[in-house]
Amino acid sequence: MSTARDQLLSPEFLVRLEQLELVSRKVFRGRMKGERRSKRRGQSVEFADFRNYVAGDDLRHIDWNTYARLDKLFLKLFLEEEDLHFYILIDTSNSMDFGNPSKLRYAKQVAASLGFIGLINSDRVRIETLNQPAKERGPTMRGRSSLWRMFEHLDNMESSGSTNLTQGVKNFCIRNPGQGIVVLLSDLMDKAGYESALRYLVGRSMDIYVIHTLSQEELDPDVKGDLRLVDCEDGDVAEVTINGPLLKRYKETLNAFVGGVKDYCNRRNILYLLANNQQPFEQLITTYLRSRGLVR
Amino acid sequence: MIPSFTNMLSWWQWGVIAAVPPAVVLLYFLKLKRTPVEVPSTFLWHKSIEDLHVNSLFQWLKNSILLLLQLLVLLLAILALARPSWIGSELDGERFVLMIDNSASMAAVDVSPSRLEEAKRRAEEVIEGMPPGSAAMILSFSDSARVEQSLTDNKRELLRKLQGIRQTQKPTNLLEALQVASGLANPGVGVASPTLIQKDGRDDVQVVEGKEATVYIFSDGKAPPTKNFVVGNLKPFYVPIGDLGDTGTEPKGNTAIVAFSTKRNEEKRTQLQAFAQLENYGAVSVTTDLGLYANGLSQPVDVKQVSIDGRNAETGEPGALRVAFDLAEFESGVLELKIEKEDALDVDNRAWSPVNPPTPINMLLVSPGSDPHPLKLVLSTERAKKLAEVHLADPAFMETEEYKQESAGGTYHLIIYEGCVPAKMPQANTLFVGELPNAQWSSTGKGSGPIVTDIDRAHPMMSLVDLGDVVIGPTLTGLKSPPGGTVLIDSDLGPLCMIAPRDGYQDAVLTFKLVDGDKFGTTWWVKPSFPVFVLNLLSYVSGVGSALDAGSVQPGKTISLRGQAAGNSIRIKNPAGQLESVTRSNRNTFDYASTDRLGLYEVQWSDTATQHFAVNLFDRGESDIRPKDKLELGEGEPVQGSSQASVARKEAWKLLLLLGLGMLILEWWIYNRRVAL
Repeated sequence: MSTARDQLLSPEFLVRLEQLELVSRKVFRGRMKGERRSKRRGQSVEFADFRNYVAGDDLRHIDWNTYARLDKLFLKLFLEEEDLHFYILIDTSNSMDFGNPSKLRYAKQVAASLGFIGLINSDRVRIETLNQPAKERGPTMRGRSSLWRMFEHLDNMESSGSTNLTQGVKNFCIRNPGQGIVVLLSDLMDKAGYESALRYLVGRSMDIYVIHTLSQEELDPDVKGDLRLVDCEDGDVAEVTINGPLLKRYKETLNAFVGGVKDYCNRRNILYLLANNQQPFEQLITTYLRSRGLVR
Repeated sequence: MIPSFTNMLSWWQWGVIAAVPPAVVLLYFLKLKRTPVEVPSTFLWHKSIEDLHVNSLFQWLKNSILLLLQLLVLLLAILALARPSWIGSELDGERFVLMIDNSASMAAVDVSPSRLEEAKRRAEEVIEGMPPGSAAMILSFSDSARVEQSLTDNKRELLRKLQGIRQTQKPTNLLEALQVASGLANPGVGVASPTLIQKDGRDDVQVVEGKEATVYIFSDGKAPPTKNFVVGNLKPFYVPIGDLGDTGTEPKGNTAIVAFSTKRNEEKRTQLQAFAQLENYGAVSVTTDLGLYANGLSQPVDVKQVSIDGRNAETGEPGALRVAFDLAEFESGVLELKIEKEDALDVDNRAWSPVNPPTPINMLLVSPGSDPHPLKLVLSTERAKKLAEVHLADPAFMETEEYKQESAGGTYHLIIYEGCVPAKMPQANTLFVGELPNAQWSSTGKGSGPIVTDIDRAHPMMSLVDLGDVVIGPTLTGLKSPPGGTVLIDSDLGPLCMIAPRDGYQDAVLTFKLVDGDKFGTTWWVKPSFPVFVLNLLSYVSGVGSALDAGSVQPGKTISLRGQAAGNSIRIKNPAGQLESVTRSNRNTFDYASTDRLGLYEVQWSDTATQHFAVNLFDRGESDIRPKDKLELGEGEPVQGSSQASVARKEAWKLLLLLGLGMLILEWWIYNRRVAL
């Protein structure tokens, strides 16, 4: 395995991840035969329903025992097991490059962990960024064999440009018409707001997880004095004199913002999780996401 | 209270200073360079400061508070440079001498509660107004000065000592108080005293320049002018105490007894006459009862209603009235005269006069003797025997041991030496007839037939003595006495009779002999005036001897008593009933100085023999209570009275600079607090 992947996930953690699987709160139709229950009727061992025989039906599915009792032809239906579409959408704007470890790296680690779980459970995993053009689709990975590709794909992600959350999500939706689980890893620091972006996802009836990734510097800024704060994305300037009262006010604003996102998500059945980059991501996966039900 | 400014700078300096505040504003905006810090997003920061922009003026003020404080500091500094000041309550000076008059006139109640209390109140104001670091001393003065508190900066102590000043009943002597003040205000610094001033006015004493002291004189100014005083480095300030009549109302008047004495009727010895002089210092005439009390009884022996004119508007002389009382069968005792009507000053409304029983004096006549001898004749009369116990001796007696002991021991009150001179002057009053007592007396020669030109009838010895038709034979001419002598009889050939003091005694000299050999030296002895003269002499000597018939002394004055004390000490009871023992001085007198209180003093010569003397104010200066509006100190301009104390201008620059410093500290604190997390 490459060094880059080593940096993202440790082998010990990978072992722990192998015991986990992704859980969807909804049942989606898959594309390929998989290990997940699908909406489709198909060929599994799990009985689903009976239906009347119509001409053209596969005779192999006729329940001959029922025919014998009732003298009517019924088809015996079984639940289909298909794969799960698991999307990870990472914000790679410049603002994600802050913090130690950077928010982007933190997001990558979370994405790698979740992707790994998805791959070993034969789910279709696609990891994309918000900056990606609408037509440029990210690689679809499936199966343990795609691990290498996934890590490489994550390694290749670089921070660039500014956050346009709405556009990014919209592009994502255009690229990926299917349903499934989507995990959005972003700091949501879009001056245009996060609501319209989430609305796109909600509109797609996907099982949405928002992991709000913030650095310690954002949660508890360690700056003071007369400063000219420069926005790393759009170069916007805020001249402030940072003192106790202003910091208090900042934290109030931050809490209001976080609270607002949380509230918005809760109302729309979006699972929201605030992640601090100082918090070990292993803990985030094995404890928080597990308790929230994304992994099992 | 509008402050005035003192310009300390020239216009261009002001110009430079005026340019500083705009420069500070400019620098403030130029200087404010915020450190650029890259942050993930200014999104939350903008949201945080968003509502701060709502009240932009307030926000501007809040953001620029450091600039505003800097400008304020500058403004205060500039204001301090302009030196604003205003009239404050603090006094000007470093050393203060507070002189409180506590003489008799300060007991006047024309201001409430009394002049002394008013003076204390005013002095208190001065003490309260003393600038920090200054020192003051307190003197009280009446006929003498008393240091109540030496130079100190302890205001509490000063106030305490000030309240401790008590009223006295003594007259005023400002000069002594000023000299004390001058000496003590600058300890260790030579102050020119009046005695050091030469006649031509030059001061030949090297006077070290001392610190200037401000002297506050709280007085009614009832003191004789102090012409001899050199103000020197004293800055006198006179605060008149009393009703100056400037409030529109007529000041309270005062009537006083200025003289009170008794005299026996010459014809009827048991009859006594009491004379009093009353004066009214008020503007309007006063009618009052005048009560005469005897021996301390509460019922008066005589009451007279008298009316005393007011002050003469033109001459300013007070209205005066003489009153006489006749007392029958009054042998001895004490008399008190009282003005019954209340007025502004109480102490001069009462006067006392003792009537002591006549006590014969012990006298010796040393004379060669010849019959008929004029002196012996007169001294053998009944009247003379009442006055004196006469011993006769011839000049040879002066050689005896007995005489020497007696003359040196003060046995005799009076010794008359006729035609002889003692080797040593005796401890007694003397009369020398036709001889000079000692070398201190001198004459130019001898003459004959002097014509009497003048007789000092004011002198008790010359009372009722007439020498108009007296022929005088040989006599000494050009008589000169030791210093202090008084000419009693003057003639064209020089004084014929003089009297001069000697160590508490009096020596009288008659220049002509009464009997010259076998002839009479004068025709005086056949005239009625001769016995009168001799009896006057006896009366006078007995008066001088005891000082008791003089009747009255002024408060504070020392009285010398000479009398028939058995031992070396006598006791004197003052009006308050306190007994004091007085020992005999080396001049054979009993000197008593505690005459502070007005009233009668009882002299206890022995367990049985007592006499009285009185202490009366009898001071027109004290009784005339109108306060003076100016005080004459030394040769310079009189010190005008002022109720306003000399106050220092209150400078505000120190306060302004302190405020500026406070602002600077505040600015520093705010700056630190702004950036503190």
